[in-house]
Amino acid sequence: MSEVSRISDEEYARRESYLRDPILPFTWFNPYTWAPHYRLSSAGLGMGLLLIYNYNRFMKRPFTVSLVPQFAVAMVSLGGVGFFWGKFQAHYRKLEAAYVDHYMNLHPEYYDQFKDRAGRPYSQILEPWYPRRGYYPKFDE
Amino acid sequence: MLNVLDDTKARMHANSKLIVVEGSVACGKSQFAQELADSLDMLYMPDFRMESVLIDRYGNDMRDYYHLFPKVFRVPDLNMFFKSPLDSTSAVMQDRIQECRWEQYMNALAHILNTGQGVVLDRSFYGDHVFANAMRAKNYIGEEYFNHYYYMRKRGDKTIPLMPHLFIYLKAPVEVSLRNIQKRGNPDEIKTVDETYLKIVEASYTDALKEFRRYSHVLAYDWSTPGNTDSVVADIEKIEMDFYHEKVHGEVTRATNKIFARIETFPNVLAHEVSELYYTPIEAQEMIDAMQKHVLKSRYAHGYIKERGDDLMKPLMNFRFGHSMPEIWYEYYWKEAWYHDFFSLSSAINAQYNH
Repeated sequence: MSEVSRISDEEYARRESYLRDPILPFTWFNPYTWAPHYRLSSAGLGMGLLLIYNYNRFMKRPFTVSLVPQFAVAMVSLGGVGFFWGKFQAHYRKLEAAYVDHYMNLHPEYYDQFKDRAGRPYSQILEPWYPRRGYYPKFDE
Repeated sequence: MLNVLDDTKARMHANSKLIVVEGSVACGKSQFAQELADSLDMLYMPDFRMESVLIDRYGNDMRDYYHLFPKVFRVPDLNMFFKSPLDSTSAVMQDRIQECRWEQYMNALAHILNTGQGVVLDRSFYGDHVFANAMRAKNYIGEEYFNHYYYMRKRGDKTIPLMPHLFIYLKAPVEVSLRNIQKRGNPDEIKTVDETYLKIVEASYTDALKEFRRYSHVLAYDWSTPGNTDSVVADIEKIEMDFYHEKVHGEVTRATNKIFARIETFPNVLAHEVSELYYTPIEAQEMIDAMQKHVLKSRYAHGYIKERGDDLMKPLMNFRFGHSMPEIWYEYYWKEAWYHDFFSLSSAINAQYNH
């Protein structure tokens, strides 16, 4: 493998820590930095508000009409669904990672290729290939 | 929640009764009903008139805008009906009257159960079919609508939980009715409500009394010359009326929840074959446009128009089932509530009028 495609350990650490979900610092303005249950519950609530707006519009009445109970229902139903969905999602991802780690611990021999981060050169992967050329029939035998 | 603590029975007394006055056309029935209500300290509910539903809370008279409405929505009042009885809108009028009489009956029941005061009803849902019969005999309504009318009558009868305690039938001969109509002096009425019409009304009442007798007491009087109300009161006092005939067991709550009873009774029964009642989605949209642009002058429905002085902060906490009016109770569905429920295919995306 040529040295061009090899990267240093620092570069590898930088790439691994760049734009990863739990590593991104929390900001109020970026929902992708929120915990998944907050992110999904607020998405549900936003959808609920849109629903209320369109429903009231369809029912020929202003947005404010029965906003409080409708908002409460949206918060409990859609917000609640989003909240628990987010909780479940985080739990599921943790569990999934734990399973994979455990399996890798049980069978480290299946994962030899990960030890060399730069990977193997093509010469080690592909079989040699000697093409037949119509121009040079005397070499065909 | 607190209505669990509200004891309805405690309000009931000897005069918490429903009395329905039926009778021939123009025989002095309304005056009698009023006097009866006064002498028994009951509430008098006058005969249903289309005017009660044609003028909304802002004082808009729908009849002023009929030139803008599709024809099926130009519901005539009685005078318009007398002027052109053979018009297809006669059936629409009869349909509205039927529903409104049903609703008036439910209002009467609600009044009795909520206040304990009795009610004297001037004509009712139960006697309304006599006019449908007469209109059919004169060909003012079509046969399909006539069948539809009786179908709706059966439905309405099913959801009315309590029958009246007493029917009072005032009978005047056809000649007397004709003479009284002549005295009123409306030439269109004289032309439309003729002898055939009145004879059918009389014959239908005679049949209807048999039906009334199954559930209620019936008092019939010859009212060719208006009699003395006090003598009728004396007759009523002799009747044992402390019975409680529950037609549909366990369904009395329907009387205090008119909105759902109405939805159950008068859903959108398919009326495609009733050409008088049928309207296309495009006509519905035309109607909505006319209401928005000319009548209400707002994209919002009755009760939600800021420009007309409605308070929009008040309904912030409203949580209504079955209707979306700002008030918890409405008297007649066909006055304003119908417009809240009235949609066409393009309602959701119609942006022609954004106030």
